Amino acid sequence: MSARPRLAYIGVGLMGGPMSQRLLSLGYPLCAFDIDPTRLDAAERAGARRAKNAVDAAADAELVLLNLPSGPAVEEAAFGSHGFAGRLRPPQLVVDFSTIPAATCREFAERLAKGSGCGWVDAPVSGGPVAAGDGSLTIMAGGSDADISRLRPLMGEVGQQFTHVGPTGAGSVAKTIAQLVVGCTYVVLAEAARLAEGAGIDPAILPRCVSKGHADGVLMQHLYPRIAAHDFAPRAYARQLLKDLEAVQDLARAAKAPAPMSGLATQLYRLLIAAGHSEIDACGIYKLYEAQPSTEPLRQGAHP
Amino acid sequence: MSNEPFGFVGLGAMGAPMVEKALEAGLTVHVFDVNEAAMKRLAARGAREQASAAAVASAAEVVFVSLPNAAVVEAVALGPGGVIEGKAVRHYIDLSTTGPTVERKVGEAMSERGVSALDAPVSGGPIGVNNRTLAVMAAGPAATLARAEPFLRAFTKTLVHLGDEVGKAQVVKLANNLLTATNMIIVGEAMAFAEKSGIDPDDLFKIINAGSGRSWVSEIAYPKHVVTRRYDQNFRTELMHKDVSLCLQEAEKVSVPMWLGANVRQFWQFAMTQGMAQADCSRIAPMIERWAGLDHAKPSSDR
Repeated sequence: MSARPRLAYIGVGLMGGPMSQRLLSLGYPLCAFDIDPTRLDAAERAGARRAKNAVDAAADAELVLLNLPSGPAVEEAAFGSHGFAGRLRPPQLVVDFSTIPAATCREFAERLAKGSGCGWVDAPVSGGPVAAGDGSLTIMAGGSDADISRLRPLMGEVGQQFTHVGPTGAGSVAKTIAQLVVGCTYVVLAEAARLAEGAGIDPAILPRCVSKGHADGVLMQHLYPRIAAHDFAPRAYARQLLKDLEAVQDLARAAKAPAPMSGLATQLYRLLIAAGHSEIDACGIYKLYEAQPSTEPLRQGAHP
Repeated sequence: MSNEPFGFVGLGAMGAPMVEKALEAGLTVHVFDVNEAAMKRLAARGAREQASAAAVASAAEVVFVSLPNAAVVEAVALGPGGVIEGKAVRHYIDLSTTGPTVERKVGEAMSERGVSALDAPVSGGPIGVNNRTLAVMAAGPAATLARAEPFLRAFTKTLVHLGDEVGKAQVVKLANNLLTATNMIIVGEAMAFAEKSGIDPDDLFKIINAGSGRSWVSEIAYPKHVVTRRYDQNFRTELMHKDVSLCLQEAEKVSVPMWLGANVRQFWQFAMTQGMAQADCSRIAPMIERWAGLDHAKPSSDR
């Protein structure tokens, strides 16, 4: 294999866009596919070869990289009518950066291994579009030792922190658990902002107060200020965080592990979405904490 | 003592019908409430108006109070112009839900003045009073309960004496209200689930109330106040929140963790931030229905 393996990149949207552009800028030969042609235009402008579909993109790639929004989207790309699975041959290798449930990921890996003998590495990422563009993502991967060693140079280009968690599926488990922490923290930070307001201190001062203390953290410094400013313009949709929390609940059920905190966070996100806020940022969970105007008071027989 | 006078302070959703029933039973009742209109309504039916709680307690040996919270109970019992200043009072019976702590405090202060205190919260709501099916749990001296009984019997079906220790009845009452507060929510969730799946609420409650899921909430509260869309349970959301909060405070004092209870309290707290503090507690049902996307259940303004 050459120092810069030929890449297929399927899914060049919110995360896949900046990641693929970074790889192109580093000199990787890259063939891109996306169901949205405008995203494909952007990839082409950045130097990617444009593929007609997933199977076309993967045809002469050494590594098939995926970055898709859901399990069904990954299934379509791999096993759909223009899916790459049927044409793949070892040593071609699939690397899925998407966040999908671990069980789904293992099922896809088994199907691919049975049909073609090719390996599948799940490598969900954390850090958002900016980190995707500047190569500072946190990546947690599941796959065989051999597949992982082969990927280390590439992972070093897109991620600052790369961890081989275990066999295929283990990366997704780690990502799901990370989303438990993130999802609950979003709610906790909204609750903190509401309490600061209600108890009469300037909510915006909190990150400075707790800096370097036990309540400090990336989300306190970078997410909380948006909550305190009531800025809910979408960067990560509320509906997406709900999906992540639902995956946490599925994983906890399968693992027979109790998960009351994330269970409550999940219900609170369901409430937010029931209130019509699915398209705001996930930190808009704050809206649940806002006081609403009075409804009809009880008139008859009031207590003394 | 066949027609000894009774005293009664607090003529609200519970107190007013209690006094009415006592008057219907032919008893003499001296009353006081800060709400003059409430007092006038009962005076028209034969109650004797008094100018203060102390005046009530100077006109009767046996004095009942039925008040909204611990702070009001303490003020009415021990404050200026309170029951403790009365010249006739020998027996003080608190029908309010206030938690054991204030009951013990008032009980001690009363006994120092030679007044015997009974802690006697009730369950069953205004409907229970009107149907004379109320449950009363009493803790305190048996002699005081005996003096109170002729009055209580005017609207009470179940009367349980929980011993001499004032405050114990409040524990039972708080446990009871924790269940009511929980059931109000969970029955609403079950109803929204059934409704959204196309099941008629009448059918739902017919089955639930013949099955293992039944409770006072499913048998009385929802069929009468929610399914009818009248929302007239006559109990404010903020009082439901108060009762659960009290229960959690007392449970904490005796080191009993309440996992679900804590969430139930948060639910009622949330309902209050949704503008429902003063609204009837049964209006949480349409709130839950709205979350479920059941549009027909918008809050009615039929009253």
